[in-house]
Amino acid sequence: MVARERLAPLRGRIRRASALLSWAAWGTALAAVPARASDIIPVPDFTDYRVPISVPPAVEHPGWEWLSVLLLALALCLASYLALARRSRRGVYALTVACLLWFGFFREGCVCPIGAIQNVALALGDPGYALPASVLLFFLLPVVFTLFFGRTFCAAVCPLGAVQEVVAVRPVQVPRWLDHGLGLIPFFYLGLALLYAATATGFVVCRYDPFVAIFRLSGNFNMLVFGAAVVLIGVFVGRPYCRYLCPLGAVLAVCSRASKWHVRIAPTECTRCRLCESSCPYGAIELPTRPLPSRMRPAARTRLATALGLAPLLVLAGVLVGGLLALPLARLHPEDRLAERVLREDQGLVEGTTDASEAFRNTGRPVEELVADVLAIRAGFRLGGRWLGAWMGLVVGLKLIALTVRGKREDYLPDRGRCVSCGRCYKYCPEEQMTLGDLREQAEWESAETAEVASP
Amino acid sequence: MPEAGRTDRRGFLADALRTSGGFALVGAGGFLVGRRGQEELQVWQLDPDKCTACGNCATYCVLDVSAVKCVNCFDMCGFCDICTGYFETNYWSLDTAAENQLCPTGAVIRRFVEEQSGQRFYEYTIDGPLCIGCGKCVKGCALMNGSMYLQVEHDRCVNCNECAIATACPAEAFYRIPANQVEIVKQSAIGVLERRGRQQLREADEDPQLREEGESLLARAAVQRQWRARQAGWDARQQGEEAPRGS
Amino acid sequence: MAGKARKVQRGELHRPPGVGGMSGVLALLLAATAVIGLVAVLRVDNWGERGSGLSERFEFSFEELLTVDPELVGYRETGQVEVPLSSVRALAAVPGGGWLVSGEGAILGFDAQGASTVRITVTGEPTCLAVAGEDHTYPGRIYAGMPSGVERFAPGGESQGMWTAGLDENSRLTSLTVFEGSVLAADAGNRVVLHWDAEGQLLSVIGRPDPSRNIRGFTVPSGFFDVAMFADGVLRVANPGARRIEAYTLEGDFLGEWGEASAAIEGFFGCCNPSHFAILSDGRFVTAEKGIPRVKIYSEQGQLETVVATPEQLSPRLLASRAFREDQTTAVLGVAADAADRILVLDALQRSVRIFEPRGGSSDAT
Ligand code: SF4
Ligand code: SF4
Ligand code: SF4
Ligand code: SF4
Repeated sequence: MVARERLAPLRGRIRRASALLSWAAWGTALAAVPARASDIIPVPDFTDYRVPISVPPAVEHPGWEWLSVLLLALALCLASYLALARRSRRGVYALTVACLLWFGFFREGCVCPIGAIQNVALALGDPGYALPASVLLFFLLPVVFTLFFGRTFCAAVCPLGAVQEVVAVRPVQVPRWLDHGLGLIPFFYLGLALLYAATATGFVVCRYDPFVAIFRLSGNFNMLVFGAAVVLIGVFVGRPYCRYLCPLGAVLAVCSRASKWHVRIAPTECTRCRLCESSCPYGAIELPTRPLPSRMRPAARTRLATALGLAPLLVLAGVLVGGLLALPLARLHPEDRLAERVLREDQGLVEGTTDASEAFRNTGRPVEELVADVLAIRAGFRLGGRWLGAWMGLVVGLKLIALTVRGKREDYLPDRGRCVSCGRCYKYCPEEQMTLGDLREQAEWESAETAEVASP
Repeated sequence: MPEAGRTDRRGFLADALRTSGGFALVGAGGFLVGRRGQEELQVWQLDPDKCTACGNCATYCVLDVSAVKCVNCFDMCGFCDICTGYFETNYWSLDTAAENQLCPTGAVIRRFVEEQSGQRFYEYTIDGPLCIGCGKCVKGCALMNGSMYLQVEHDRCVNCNECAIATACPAEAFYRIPANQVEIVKQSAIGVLERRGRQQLREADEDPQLREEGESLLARAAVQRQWRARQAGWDARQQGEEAPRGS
Repeated sequence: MAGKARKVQRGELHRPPGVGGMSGVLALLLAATAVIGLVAVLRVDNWGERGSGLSERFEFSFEELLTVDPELVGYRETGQVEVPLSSVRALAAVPGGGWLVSGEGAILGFDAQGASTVRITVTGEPTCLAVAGEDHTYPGRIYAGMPSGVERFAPGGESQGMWTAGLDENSRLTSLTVFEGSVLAADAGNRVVLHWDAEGQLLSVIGRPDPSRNIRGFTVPSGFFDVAMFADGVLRVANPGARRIEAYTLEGDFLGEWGEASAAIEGFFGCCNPSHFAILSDGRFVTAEKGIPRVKIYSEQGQLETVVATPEQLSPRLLASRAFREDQTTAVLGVAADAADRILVLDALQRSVRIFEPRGGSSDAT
């Protein structure tokens, strides 16, 4: 397999490198020169000058973390109440803006529930990392709420969702094939993020968060461009980040499918008037299904059987591919890059040095040790890569199965996974208007209905 | 709310599943948090013993003006007349003229302290708002006493979940530390802090402020010792186990 | 269908706009935006591999100080003897030939050829050493500055006890020297030179500021403070904070001084140099500096005569690296002149004693 073949020469190189290392002598020597406290002698006795003491500024916001957790819990309660019990789009929207201001612009993004997944993964993977309780709650609260109320976190609390919610002014429909295809990315991104967090490589979700630079109104230029691009797309494609990237969205989508309660479009009974059909900017509304004509049933059954049979194969293929991806995946780890660089320098394959390679030489750490470390890291990635592959195989397999299964739906219902519980569809439903008692409006709606029915 | 099509039994099972799922999550999380016996907030800080003053701190921070700034540990400083962290190495005259100053932003302030038997002593302070954390003076000072070093200032840092400098730091000098630790001082500074702390306590007598300062210095030093010891322990363990290295 | 839905809306104030289909142009525009965003993301330099991007004025450059005109270098390295210790700290020449090196837990002796002679096990790290010559009360005796006092050893290595007279908790012994009936030590912590007799009786403290005797005191910004006795019975003290070498009588009277602060090769660099020095048999001075590690020879009057070792030789990483560290700038932990006037340099980075001899001289070292 490619991975092993590529590792073998690396091992060979290590041996050769260790033989010809001109730095080896330096290495061991430098490591043994600690800064000695005894080299530092007391300052002179000044007559009337007191030597100042530098005191580092304290961390400003420890209590604020808990305030944020509290506010998160409150906002989740409120969002669930507004979306499910009050059915107030206006209320949800107001809460969205409030959360955008607080969690986004005021708290400047960190730590957010999306990023918190990685903290949890790191705590699992790295014994040196202590998971702060507040960060854990940031991850758990949305998940637990979603298990009961659907994605009300996404509806009004998540600041990233909020940015996209407020800019989604001219939403258009994304072709279904594209929507389903792109919809797989969050699951892949989730797996990747967990892998990188658990291997202590880094928090890629934070690194590539398009909105945090906007919240802080400062940051890397390229990230600002990326953020602007996502916002621009978001004007026409509802919540592009939520639908096609957000790893927490993927987690919550799964939880939401199992949620106890969930947003419904019609407050009471759906009359299948079709008025809400095109109301969801996020393409989450599922049409009622009609029973298949009996002549198509065998074909459908074959499709289902194929999908079911394909799923384990896909998982297997994922494992294989994932194993092969170990090396490219490991490239994101700083030590992997460093080892590569150092070895190439030693072999004269590259000119000059980098800051990182110089810093490494300066520590006096033997190259062999670095390489051994990197081999361990790569081994971790081989294992992790297989898991990642298996996970993706599973996701794709389940997706195929889901696409072939025709559920029995009589009403217009939001797809529990994709619906973010924003409540935009409520007011499209004439039943809603009825419940609100606005009969004048009801009449107008009816005429609208006739107009639309007249033009199929 | 409506789950009309389902029988009670299915509803009940689903409820049970959800509830136990929720509990399992919370329990697992609680275990993760409790495992370390240390669950407070964490912040980023750089280890000045690893830092090579590469300059990335100045430009990779997500803030327009970096949260990393220089500090001078005065008790390590020589109060020298010719400060290699203050003057260009090829200084022409030892005054505060801009062309002699090493710091490109003029953030190091030189103040005459006193003259002792023909020797003039100066205090070098960092003007926080001017310093951008480029580390030039740190390199200069490293030639002599090494009392200047960089630190993340936590009244400015917004505590990114992943510090942008940590990723870009060529020396892998960034660590997550408990928020109440605040700083990582140089290893050689720990003893200096202790010495100063003891001296303050000796001189304190009546003065409660001196005593308080002395005690807080000793406490700071103790926290630093603890952190270094734990770090050394982890490094050793990780090398033993060949586990992935974390920062 | 989208168009028709919109037509209905126009008449209907209460119907919010629905979600229309995606037109080809819009799809193209969106795709283009997505590509721009993707390119931006890929251009992010997360690993700092493109460097800090700071302008040149933020660069700390002192390369011109690290390179020395080869014309000025009058010595060449003729040998290098490794010190088998985990750290090295102090160096002293043995009057009859050979040298002693101290490090963590031990003092090691070497003969002139670099072969090991004695190994004395100690607790802690001796910070300075001296070996008595024939003129001393106890010829061959070894004196070692320990964290707690001055320890004596017989030439064979047996400890003969320790004295602490004149030392306090601030004391940090950085240098020892021996003359006839005297033992002298530089105490960097108290910034004085202590003068004992060979039994450890404190005779005098040299260098306390005293305007009436024209004694200004020593400025010692860091833990480098060296002293040496010369055969003429005059004590030489490096006053590092003043970048000078000063001369005193054993009674503590100030005799004279030389030295100049300068980054150029003629002077002493930075705030505290020379860090170490030794005196050749003809009275010329060998000086070592930290910060910009270099070893030079000055005439008795303080004129630069020649360069023994350049920064390039002593700390090659300094030149090679934009990322130097403090320990590389303190490459030299001691200089000594052995019986044959060869110059010994204790190299902290390589943990070895490096031997330098005049160009064109004989090379009999290992
Ligand atoms: S999908 Fe992700 S970004 Fe969108 S609202 Fe939900 S958690 Fe936030
Ligand atoms: S990025 Fe790392 S090496 Fe560079 S200045 Fe900051 S802490 Fe130091
Ligand atoms: S040289 Fe750089 S790090 Fe030092 S004080 Fe000036 S701006 Fe700050
Ligand atoms: S955590 Fe963020 S704000 Fe703080 S130093 Fe790092 S990049 Fe700057």
